[in-house]
Amino acid sequence: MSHTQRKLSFILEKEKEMKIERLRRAWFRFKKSKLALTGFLLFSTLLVMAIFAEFVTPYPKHAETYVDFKARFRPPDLNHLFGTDHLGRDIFTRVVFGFRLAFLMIGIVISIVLPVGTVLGLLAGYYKGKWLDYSIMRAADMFVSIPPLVLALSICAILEPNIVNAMIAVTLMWWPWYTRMVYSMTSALRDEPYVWAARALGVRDINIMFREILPNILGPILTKATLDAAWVILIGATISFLGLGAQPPTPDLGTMISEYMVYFPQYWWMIIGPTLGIAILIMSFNLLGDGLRDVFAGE
Amino acid sequence: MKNRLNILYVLERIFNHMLFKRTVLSLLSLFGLSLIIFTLARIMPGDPARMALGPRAPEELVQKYREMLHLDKPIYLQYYYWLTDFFQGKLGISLTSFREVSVDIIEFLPATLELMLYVAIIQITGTLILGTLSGSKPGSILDGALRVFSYVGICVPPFVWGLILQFIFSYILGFFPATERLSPSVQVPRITGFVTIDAMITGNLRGFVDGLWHLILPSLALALGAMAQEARILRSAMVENINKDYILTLLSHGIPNYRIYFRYALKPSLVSTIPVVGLDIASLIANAFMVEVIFNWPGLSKFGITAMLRKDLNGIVGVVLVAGLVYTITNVIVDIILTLLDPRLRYGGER
Repeated sequence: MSHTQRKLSFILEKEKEMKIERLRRAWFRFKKSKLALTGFLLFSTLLVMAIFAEFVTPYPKHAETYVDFKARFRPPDLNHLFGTDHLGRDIFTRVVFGFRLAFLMIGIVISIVLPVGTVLGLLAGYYKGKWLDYSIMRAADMFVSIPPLVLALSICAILEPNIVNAMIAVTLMWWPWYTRMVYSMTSALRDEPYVWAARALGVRDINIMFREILPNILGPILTKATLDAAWVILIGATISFLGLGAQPPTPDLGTMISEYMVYFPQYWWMIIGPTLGIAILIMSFNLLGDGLRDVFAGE
Repeated sequence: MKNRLNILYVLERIFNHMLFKRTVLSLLSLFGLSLIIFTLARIMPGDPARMALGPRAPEELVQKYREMLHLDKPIYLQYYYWLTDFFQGKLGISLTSFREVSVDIIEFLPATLELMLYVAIIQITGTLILGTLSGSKPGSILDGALRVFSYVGICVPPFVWGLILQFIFSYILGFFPATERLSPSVQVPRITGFVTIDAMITGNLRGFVDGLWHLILPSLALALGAMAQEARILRSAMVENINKDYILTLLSHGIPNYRIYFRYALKPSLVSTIPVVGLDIASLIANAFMVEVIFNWPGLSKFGITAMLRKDLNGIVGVVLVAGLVYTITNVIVDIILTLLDPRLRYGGER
C-alpha cells in the first residue's frame, strides 16, 4: 500500500468516525431537548393509536356507517369518552380513526412534496440565473400569489370533493413554499468553497447538488416538513370543515366538526372530541418540529 | 442632454425598485393563475356543463350553458373569450345567483374586507403591546402566559376559536350576538358596504355600535391564534435587540425605559415581525372563510363556498381572482411599510 493510499484510507476512516460522532451528538441533543422528546412521544403514541385503531378503540364499527338511535346524543362518560353523536356513534372511536386519515394524508402529501419540492428547489438554486431557475421560480411565485386556502378549496371544488382530491389540492398548494425555501438555501450554498472545489475536480452537477449541497440543508428541510405537517392538518381539516374535502360518513376530523356543528350549541360536547383531536395532532407535530430545530441548530 | 439623462436615471431607479418589481411580478402571477384555474376547470374528465347543472337537467339547457361558457370551442379560444370579457369588467354569469359574478363579488366582498380590517386592528395592537411588554421583561408572568398561549394558538384552528367564543360569549353569557352583521331591528343604508363606516357617515350611532358588537366575536376568533404567534416573534426580536450596545448607551443617558422599549428597541424589531403579520393579514381573505361560515357572515365565503359546491366555473374563477388580488395588494402594502422602515430593502437588499 502506497503512502497516498494509506493516507486516503485514513481520511476516509476518520470521516466515517466523525459521521457517527455527529449522529451521536444529534441523538444526545435530541434526548436532552424536552420539547423534542415530548413531541416524539406524543407523535408516536398518536401514530400507534392510528395504525391499530381497530384494536385501540372500544367500538371500531362506529367509525363509518353505523346507526343506533337509542344511544344518540349521550354526553361524555366512561363508556363514551367524548359522548355519542347524532347517529349514536362513539365519538372517541371516530376521532381515533380520524387520526388515521390525518396521518395518511400527511404521509402521502409529504412523500410527494418533499422529493419534488426539494429537487425543484435544488435545480433552481444551483442553476441560478439560468432559464431553469426562472421557469421553476416563476411557476412557484404564481402559486404563492394567492392565499393557499383559496387555491386548495378551488382545486377541490373543480375536482370532486373527496379526501383524495383534498390531498391533491394540498400537494399543489404546498410545493412552492417548499421549493422556495430549498431555493434560497441552495443559492446561498452554491458559492461555498467546497462546492467550487468539487466543481474544479470535475464532479458532475447532479452529484454536487445531491452529495455536497443536499446533506447541508437536510436539517432545515426536515424541520420545516415537520412544522408544515401541522399546517397540512389544519388546511386539510379546514377543507373538510367547509364541505369540500372528505364527505360524511368518512371519520375525518374536519368533517366531523362540520357535521356536529349543526347540533351546536344544544349538544355542544359533540365537538370537544374532534377539536381536541386536531389540537393534539397539530401540537405533536409542532413540538417535534421545534425539537428537531433545536437538534439541528446545535450543529 | 443632461436633463434626458436625469429622466433615464429616474426611470432606472423606478424599474430597479423592489416595489415595482414585486407589483409587476404579482400582476403577472395573477394572470398566470387565472390561466391555471381556468384550464384546470375545463380539462377535468367529464362534461363541466353537465356536472354544473346536474344529471337531471334537460339537454337544451346544458347545451345553452355550454354555449354561454363557449365550452364547445377549443380551450385557447375559451380563454381568449374569457379574457376579453374580463378586460371589459365581465366575469361571466354565475350559476349560483344567475347574476354577473362581479355584481355578486361587489355585494359580498365588503363584509369580508370589513372583518379583515378589524382583525388587522386587533392583531396589530395586540402584537405591539403584548410583544413589547413581554420582550422588555423576559421571564415575567406575562411572558410565560404569552408562551403558553402562543402554543395553544398554533394548535387551535380559527374555526374552533369561533365555536368556542360563540358558545361562551353568546350562548352562555349572552354578551354578544351569535350570527349576522346587524340585529334585525337595525338598518344601515349601504354606501361603502362597510357597516360601521356607513353608520358613521350617516351619523347612525345605534347602527355603528350594533355593527361593532357583531364584529367583535368573529374578529377575535380570527385574530387570537395568529396574534399570539406574532407577539412571540416580536418578543424574541426585542430580546435580541435589547441586549445590543446602543440600548445600553441610551440607558446610560437616562432615557426613560418605556421610551426605549416602545421606540428605540421596537423599530428594528418590527422589521422581522411585519412580514409575518402582513402575510397573516393577507391570508385573512381566505381564512375568513372558516369563521364566516360559523357566524353566518354574509362575506365572500357565502358566495364562494356555494359556487364551489355547485361547480359554478365562473364563480370559482372570480372568487379565486378576487382573493388573489386582495392578497397581492395587501402584500404590496406590507412591502411599502417595510421599505419605509428599512431602506436597505429598496434595491434588493437582504432582510
